[in-house]
Amino acid sequence: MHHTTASSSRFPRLKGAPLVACLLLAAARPSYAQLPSEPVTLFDGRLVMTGELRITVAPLDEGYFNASDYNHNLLRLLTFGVLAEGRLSDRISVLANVEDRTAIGRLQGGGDRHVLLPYALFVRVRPWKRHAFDVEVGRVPRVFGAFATAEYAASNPLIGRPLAYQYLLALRDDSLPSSTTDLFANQGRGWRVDYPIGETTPAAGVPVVASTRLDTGVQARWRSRWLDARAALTRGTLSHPLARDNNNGNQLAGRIAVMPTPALVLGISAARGAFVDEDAVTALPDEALRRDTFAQQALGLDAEWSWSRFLFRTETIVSSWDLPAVAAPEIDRPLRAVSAMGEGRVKVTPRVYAAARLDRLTFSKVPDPTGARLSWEADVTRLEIGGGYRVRRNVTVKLAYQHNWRDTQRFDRARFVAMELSYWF
Amino acid sequence: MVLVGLVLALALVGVAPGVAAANGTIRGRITLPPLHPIEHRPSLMQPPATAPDREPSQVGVVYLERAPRGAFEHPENRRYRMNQRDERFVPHVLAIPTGSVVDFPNNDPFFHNVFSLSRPRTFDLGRYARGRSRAVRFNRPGIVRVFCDIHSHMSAFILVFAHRYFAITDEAGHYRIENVPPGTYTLAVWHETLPTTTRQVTVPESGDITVDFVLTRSEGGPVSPKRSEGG
Repeated sequence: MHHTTASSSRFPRLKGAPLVACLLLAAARPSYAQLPSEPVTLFDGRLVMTGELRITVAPLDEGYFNASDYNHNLLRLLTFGVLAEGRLSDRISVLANVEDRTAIGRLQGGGDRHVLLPYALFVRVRPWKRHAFDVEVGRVPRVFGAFATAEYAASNPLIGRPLAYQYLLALRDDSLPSSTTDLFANQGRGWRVDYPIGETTPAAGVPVVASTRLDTGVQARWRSRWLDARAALTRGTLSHPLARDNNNGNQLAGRIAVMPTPALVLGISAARGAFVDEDAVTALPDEALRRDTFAQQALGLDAEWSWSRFLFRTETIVSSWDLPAVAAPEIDRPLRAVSAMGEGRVKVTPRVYAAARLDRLTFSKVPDPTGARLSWEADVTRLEIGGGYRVRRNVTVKLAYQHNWRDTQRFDRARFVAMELSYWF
Repeated sequence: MVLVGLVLALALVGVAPGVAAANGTIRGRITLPPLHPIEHRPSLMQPPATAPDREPSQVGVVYLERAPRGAFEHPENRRYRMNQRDERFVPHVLAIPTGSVVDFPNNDPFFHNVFSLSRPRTFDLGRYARGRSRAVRFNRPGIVRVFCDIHSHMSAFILVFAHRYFAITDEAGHYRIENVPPGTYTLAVWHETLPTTTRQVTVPESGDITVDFVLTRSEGGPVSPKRSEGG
C-alpha cells in the first residue's frame, strides 16, 4: 500500500459539516411533532404512501470513495423518497418508489446536482392470500444479497454503504479496455473511467452490485417460517441494472435464506447475466469476439446473528466479469472482485446504539507488459465506526467516522466524519 | 390533551371528594364513528407474511380525570400481560395503574424487539425468542406507545393511570368503573384515533349512574394522543 499525503489535509474540512447538521436538527425539532409518523392513506386505504427524508453531510471526498453511480457522494446528499402502494385488490397491488436526490455542497464528478429517480415501479400479485408467495413484474427489488433488505436508513446502522454495493470500479458496460494497460491506467478511478472501445467519453464505472437502481423484469418470492426463497429474471445485471435492455441478454438471479433459529439467518445468492452493452461489442475489432457473450456472474454468502441488544452481519460476494481479450497484454481471464464485510450493532440505551463495519474489496490479477501479474483494480479497505440516537421512533441522528484505504499512488486514503438525520413515516 | 389529563390525575389526588363508605358505579357505553382500516406501511422488499389484518381496534378507555382523595392509600402492584402473537400486540390497548408490571411474552416463532420511546417509560427489551418474556414496571402516569423494532407495523398503547378509576371498554363499547366515591368528576374517553372526549358527571351517595358517549371525529380537543405520543 502506498501512503501519500494527498488526503491528509482533508480532515480539517469537516468543521462545518456537523454544525450544519446540528442546525438542521435544531430547526427541525419544533416542527417534527407535527410530521406524520404513520403511512398516509387516501381513497379509503386504496392508496398508501410512506416516505423517507435523509440529510447526510460530510467533508469533500476527493478520492471519490463514497461516490454513487450518479456522481453523487452518498455522504453529501439530501434524499427524499416516496413509496406509494395502490391496492387494486386483496391480491394485486402496484408499488411505485420515486427518489429525489440533491447533492449538498460542491459537485465533484460533474453531472446534475438534482436527480429524480424512478427507483421502483412494479405490480405485486399474491395468488393465495394466506401464503406468502408473491410475483412481481416491472422495475423490481433486487433478489441478490443481504443488503437488499436494508431499504430504509433505519436498517443501515451506519451512514456509508458496504463497498460491494457502492464503490465504483474501473469497469463499464458500454466502454471496454483493449488491454490490461488500459485497466492499470484506470485503477482507483471508478468515478471517471476512460476506455478506448465503445463509448469513449469518460464516465462513472459500476459497483459490484448497484444499490441505487433497480432492474427490470419479473421475480417470484416465497417465504415460510424457515425459508425465504427468491428468483428473478431481469434485463440488466447486478452491476448495471437496466430499464431497457442493451444487449439482448437477461440475468437470472436468486437467493435462498434459511432461518434455522430465530437468531440466525444464513443466505446464499447467485446471479448471471449478459453485462456488456451491444454497442461496445459491435465496436470490437474482431468478428469472433463480437459473437461472444460477456457476462457478469456472482455468488454471495451472508449471515446475520442477533440476540437481545446485539446484531451482527457478514457478507461475502465473489463477482466476475468476462471481457474480450483484444490486444496484448491480454485480459486472459474474467476480472474478479471479492468483497468481505462484517458489521455489528449494539443498543446501549433505548435511544442510543453503537455500530461498526469493516469492509474489504480485493481484485484478481492480470498480466502487465513485463509478464508480472498485478491486480486489475486497486484493493480498498473501509472501516466505519459510529452510532445513532433515536430522537423519536422515526427520527434518527447518526454520527460516523469512516476511514478508507486504497492501494493507489494518489488519494490512497481518506477519512471522514459524517452525520445523517433521517425521518420516515 | 390526554397526557395532561393523566398527569392531572396524579397531581390532583386529594383535591377531589374523599373516599366515603358508600360508593357508586359509573357505567355506560361508548359508540365510535366508523373507523378507517389500519394500513400497513408499504414495503418494497418485505411484503407482509400473510394478508394483514386491517380491522381497527374498537377498544377505548374511560377514566376519571381527577381521582378521589385517598385513591392511593394502597398502591397498586399488579402484573399485566401484553403478548406478541401473529405480528400483533395482544391486547392492543392496556390500561394499568402506576406501579404495575407488564410482561411481554413472545408467542411468535421469530424474534420481536419491544421498545418504547414515550416519556412516561422509555425501554428496549431487545430481541428474544418464542417462549421467553421480559417485564417492564411503569411508575409514571401517561400514555406509552409500544412498538416492535423489527416489525414496524406492530404497535400498542399502554395507558398508565395514577389512580384506579378507569376501565377498558369491551368490543361493543361497554365499560364499568366501580367503587367510585360520591362526588362530581370529569369523565374522559380515550380512543387511539379520536380526540379525547370529557363530560362532567355526579356520582350519587349510592347507586349507579349511566353515562353513554357518542364519539365523533370533531369532538373534544384537537390533538390526537396517537400523534402527541408518537415516539
